[in-house]
Amino acid sequence: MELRGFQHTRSAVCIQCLTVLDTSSDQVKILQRFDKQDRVRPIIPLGTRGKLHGTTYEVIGFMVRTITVEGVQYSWHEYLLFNPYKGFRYLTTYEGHWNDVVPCHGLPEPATSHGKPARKYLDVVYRHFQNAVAETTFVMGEFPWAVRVGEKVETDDYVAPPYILSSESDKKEVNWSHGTYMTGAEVWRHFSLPGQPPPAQGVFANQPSPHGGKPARMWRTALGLLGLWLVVVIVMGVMAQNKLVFEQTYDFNGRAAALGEASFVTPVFELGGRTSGVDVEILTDLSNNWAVFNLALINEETGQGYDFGKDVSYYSGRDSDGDWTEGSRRESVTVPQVPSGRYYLRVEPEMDASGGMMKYTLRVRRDAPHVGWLLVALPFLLIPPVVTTLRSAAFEGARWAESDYAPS
Amino acid sequence: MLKNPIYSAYSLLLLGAAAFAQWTGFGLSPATRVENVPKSVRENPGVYRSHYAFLPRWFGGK
Repeated sequence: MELRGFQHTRSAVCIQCLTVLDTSSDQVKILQRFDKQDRVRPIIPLGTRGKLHGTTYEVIGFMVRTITVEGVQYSWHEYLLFNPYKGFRYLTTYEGHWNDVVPCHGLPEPATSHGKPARKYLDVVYRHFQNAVAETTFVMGEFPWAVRVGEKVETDDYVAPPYILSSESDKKEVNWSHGTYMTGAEVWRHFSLPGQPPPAQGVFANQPSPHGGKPARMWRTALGLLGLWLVVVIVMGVMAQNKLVFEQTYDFNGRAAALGEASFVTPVFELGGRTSGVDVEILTDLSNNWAVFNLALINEETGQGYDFGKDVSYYSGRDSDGDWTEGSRRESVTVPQVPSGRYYLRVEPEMDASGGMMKYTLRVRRDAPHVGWLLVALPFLLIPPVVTTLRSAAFEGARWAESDYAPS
Repeated sequence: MLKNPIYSAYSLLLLGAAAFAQWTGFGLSPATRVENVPKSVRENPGVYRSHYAFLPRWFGGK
């Protein structure tokens, strides 16, 4: 067997005879034998060389590790990479997700984040993700420690995407390692591997969110746009003419009107300025009664008219639920896009013939300030940040669904 | 806004359209536009009946 790790290699696996050998001395000893059916073919062959962070590394070892959660086994693969000058690092992979892993150079400090256990390492806080017992289920190649199939360690993963902090502990020691998420395409490029990498399945613990930071940026922009919206509303309000061009109070006798012609026309009034809306407001003194106003705004000069109407009804009383009211004594209609000119109203009120008297006031206002369209636009302004936030939350939900903190 | 150019462009377009519609008084009109209302309406309002007069109505009341 050729040893690629030189004097660093403490154990090596002969894949032909399925044995783990102790290579720490000249007297090579068999440490372990394992079954043929456990054999796994690594997707990156041993001996493959690739460049990571500008340094050439060679794949010298491969192992499969397995955890069991609620009776289901989950396995991931670890590749041991070696450079004679830079030492060891690992590539780990699970369902198409990859991590470039190196041993930690310091001890991460205990911390809390979002009320959950965390660790702080190099000024980054990592939230606890999962605790499990990992068992080595297959080994191949050579390792700088006495590797054994069946070896078990307790693992704890902490995440701060795209980083992951992992501890592996047994009765003798605790080893911390730090991983950085990589895509399969990046691994394939660095190691010049043929074909395509296996597609990534689901969301991995430290996989960077494609929406990372986007919701906050979107909401900051939305805040600016809401400010702009408010400015537009104020400017529109200030610039609107809001001119009362006609106001008159009338008396109406429903019984008398039923016997004759109820319609009449108002004096002519001037609608000036640009083409804009006209508000016609009707204020009545109705009580437990109704009235209908058939109206026409007619241009005296051109004969162009706008027919419209308004029902006004107001009822009130008291029953077992208490006092109640229904309807309103006051109604208004906005006739949009009326060109300037001299106009009058044709008014034809109607009431129940036995309805008695009604006093009402007609008010005509040119270009009253309205925010209808701007109000319609408001929720549409907020749709993009809301959608981005929901998508980001869905991604994070998928991430944490695989953790010890999955919502039940 | 420069960090979200697409969102900003979409929002400015939307806000501009809403402001334009508001400024010009554009709206779903409750009124029926009619041409050539006879001038005699001023002297005899009964010669003209608005379209609204023929619509079915419902009046409230508990």
